[in-house]
Amino acid sequence: MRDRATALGALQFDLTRRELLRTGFGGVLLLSFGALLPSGCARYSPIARPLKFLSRKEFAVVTRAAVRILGLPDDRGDEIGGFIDALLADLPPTTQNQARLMLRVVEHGTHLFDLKPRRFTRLSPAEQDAYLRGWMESSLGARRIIFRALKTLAALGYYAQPSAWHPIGYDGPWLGRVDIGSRFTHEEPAPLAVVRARFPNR
Amino acid sequence: MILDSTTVDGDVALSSDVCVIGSGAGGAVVARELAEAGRSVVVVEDGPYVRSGEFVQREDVMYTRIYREGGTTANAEYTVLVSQGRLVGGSTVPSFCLSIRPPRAILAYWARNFALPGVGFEAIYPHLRKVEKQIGVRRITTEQLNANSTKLLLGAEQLGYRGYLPFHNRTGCVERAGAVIIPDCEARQIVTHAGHAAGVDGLFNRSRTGTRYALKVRAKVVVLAAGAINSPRLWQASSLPDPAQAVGRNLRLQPNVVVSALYPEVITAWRGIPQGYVVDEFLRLDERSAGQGYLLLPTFAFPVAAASVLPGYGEQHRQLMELYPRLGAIGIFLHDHSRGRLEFSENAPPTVAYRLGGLDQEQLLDAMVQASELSFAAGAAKVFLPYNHVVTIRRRGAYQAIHERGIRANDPLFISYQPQGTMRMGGNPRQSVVDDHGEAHMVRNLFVADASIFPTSVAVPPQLSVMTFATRTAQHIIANARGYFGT
Repeated sequence: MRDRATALGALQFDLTRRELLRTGFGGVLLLSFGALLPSGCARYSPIARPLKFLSRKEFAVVTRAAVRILGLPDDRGDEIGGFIDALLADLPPTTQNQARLMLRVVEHGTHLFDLKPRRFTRLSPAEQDAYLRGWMESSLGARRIIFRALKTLAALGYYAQPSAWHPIGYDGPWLGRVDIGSRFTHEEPAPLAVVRARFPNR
Repeated sequence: MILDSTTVDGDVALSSDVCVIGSGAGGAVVARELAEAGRSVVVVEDGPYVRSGEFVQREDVMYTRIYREGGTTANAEYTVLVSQGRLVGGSTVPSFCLSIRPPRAILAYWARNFALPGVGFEAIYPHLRKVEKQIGVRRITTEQLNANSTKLLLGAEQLGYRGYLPFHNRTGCVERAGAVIIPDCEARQIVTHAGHAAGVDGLFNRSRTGTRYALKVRAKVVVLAAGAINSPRLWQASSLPDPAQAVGRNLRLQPNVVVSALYPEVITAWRGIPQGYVVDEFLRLDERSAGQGYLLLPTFAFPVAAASVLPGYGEQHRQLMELYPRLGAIGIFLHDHSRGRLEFSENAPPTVAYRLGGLDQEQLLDAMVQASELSFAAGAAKVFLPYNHVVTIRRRGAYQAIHERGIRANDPLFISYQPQGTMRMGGNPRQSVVDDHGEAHMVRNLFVADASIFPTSVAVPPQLSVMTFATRTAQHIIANARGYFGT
């Protein structure tokens, strides 16, 4: 228990470190802890689809977390994970790094927070639920932050997709369905040569 | 004219009368006014130019395209998300188009307490009217109310709460006044010479070759309008003087949080004009203090944002999402007194340090009670509070759960769309950054024209206030052209 308490204390300390508190993909993320954790993927199943950003390990964590948090069937996981992978690939490097660390912390936080010998993706669905609820309801603000980030990522991975809209009664964007005609016009941008001619350097 | 940044193939040097940093509510208005007065104006915008046809109402596409850091910027403790537009048009683009005038009492308070005799309501009224005409504000009619707004109106009528149909600007407001906008270019430094602003140095984020080429704009007047987070960052990065130690301080966030309600009938809150009604019963303003309280506004979220903010886990969360068409929502818009600050570091966005004080927490808890009360009065069957865990109120008056849970870090999570106050105006250079026309006390020919200059929260959504003060700043520059431009 002493080791655990020490580790938690270290997390609290790290959360006060300014460089970790700058922006947040889901907040800050216990994250220096994540940086110390293993990133290898040897024990994770190969994935049929090519990934742009996530490793196999990160893909496994985010898909399991998403289906459990959103209450979805397991078979939606790959589709959600692929969508999240594509989204993360387009985000700034700082945010990408925070996302990586967050997923690593969630995967290995079982040892730290629940004293379980197995990592998150190796738990049973019921154990995964109990573990993730522990993050949601934690008295440690940083864990709630990570849960919220994970939930947002899951929501983006699933509810941004048109296939998710019918079950919740959302009829989709009206742009593209409704003719707005010429009400909203835009200006075509001008090449640099035109701008230079107008504002010559004096 | 808007530059096509994909044609940039080398460093760029331009000369103009005026260089404006930022193209949002403040920058665009200043640029227009000065260009119409015959001045050459270059506007440097960090974000992209997104054409009308590129808006697709898809959250996965638009969040990363039009919000700074995809909308994920947060304060240090991650209790408030700070959402800022980052594109040509700034935060006026992802907006519900509310156009609420700055309250007379707030302006009087500023005038009296910050040595700003020229900012009273009567003094700014001509500028306010000019803006209202230019952006085409119209009062929402009852026929235009969507079901979600109608619920708030009904609730307010039932309870006898004060409210009104607000003005919106819902006609296109793109006009060609003659300024040139340079998108995809990050302003890195305000250049000064002998105590005067002399130009802006920037770096392109985008170019024909992918290289980050330099932009140098030499100008006689520089207007800083990058918003209450980035304007002070640029001031600090430019090593400009700050003897008052006011740059980056006095941050107000006007935090928002949402209370959701389940109605027996379909609401489809995403359809029609959002935020068509305002309850201001609980916004208490007087000329002797900064006032306190909050506005209550109908609001909605598309599916991803709804799934993120709706409480619950697993099956319970999914069932809540299946109620999406029957959910109405009331947004709480706090007139905050808590003062945050920005902490700067090199080559990184500033850290937002902001903690809700006791009075603000009390106001927010009260606001959650009143939003629940209004929802039940409008016929809601249940109310869902914005906590991580599902906290459901099933009958009117049973609000003890709100006070029991209170507010703890990140639960609920607040969102700020309107940071302000970090470069406050005032008559005393020892206590403020700019004067009542927005001109820096310590750097001649440098103006600030965004919500940074507000000495306190302006108590309402600030778009119209920012535009009004920007117009006033531009008119001041025009009226004193000989001094600023030499001609």
